[in-house]
Amino acid sequence: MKLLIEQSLDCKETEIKITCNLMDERLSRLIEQIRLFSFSVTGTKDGVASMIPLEQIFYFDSVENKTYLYVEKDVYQCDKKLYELEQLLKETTFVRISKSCILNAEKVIEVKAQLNGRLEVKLLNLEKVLVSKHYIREFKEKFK
Amino acid sequence: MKDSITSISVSFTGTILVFSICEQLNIVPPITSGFVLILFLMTVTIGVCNELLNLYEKKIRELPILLDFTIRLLCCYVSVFFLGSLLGMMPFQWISIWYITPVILPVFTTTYFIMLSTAKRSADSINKKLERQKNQK
Repeated sequence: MKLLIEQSLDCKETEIKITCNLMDERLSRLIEQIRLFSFSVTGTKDGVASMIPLEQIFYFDSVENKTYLYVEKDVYQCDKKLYELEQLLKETTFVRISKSCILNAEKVIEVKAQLNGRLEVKLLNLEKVLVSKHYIREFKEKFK
Repeated sequence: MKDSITSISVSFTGTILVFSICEQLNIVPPITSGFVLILFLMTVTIGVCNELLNLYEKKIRELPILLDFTIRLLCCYVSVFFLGSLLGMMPFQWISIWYITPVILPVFTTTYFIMLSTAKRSADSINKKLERQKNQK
């Protein structure tokens, strides 16, 4: 694979162009990563709003109509609803895993089956989240 | 929907097997085509109830394991008891619950076990993929 970088002071917006034959698994993962890097979400903690890059986010969780985003050791309140995030994060490594949670598949280290057909997912920060049985298919797709 | 059709097929096959074994052991009278059709109607009814519960869990809220297990088991008992009594398979009496238990419990447990093994297969395939990704890095 050839990597071509053109640097210019005249460039107003960074543009990434991929020229390829058939898209393979590695390339589609690379594109997912690029999409991930091109977004960030506003998170608020103790009244301070900050832009959180998507690749740092482990998962989004909705509790009592409020959305929270979880990074490795912190939790921020997010200004977007879960369904908005779901639309926004299509074609990235994020996937809906239950009615209240959207998970970053990049942060998964291990998956275990539970007795009732749900999956227990262990994340890089050793936190565990549950994949509802109705979302297992979509979740599995992220690892194809 | 695909999962419900699978569970209807597994339950129906399991029930027919249990009854066939019982018939061979002379525990139940010979199985007729009418009896098989009633059994099919029962498994479809249970499948529809399960699908409705799935829909509730997907749209409203996920139930705790024990409650989920109990409601699904109750669906089986209620469907078999009422349809069986209505279609003349058994008397509309409490004793019928006792008669249907040896069939419902093993079939229900088998279906639940199949659900677990499906989840286990998914978990294994994801773990393999994660392992491969880790090795690539």
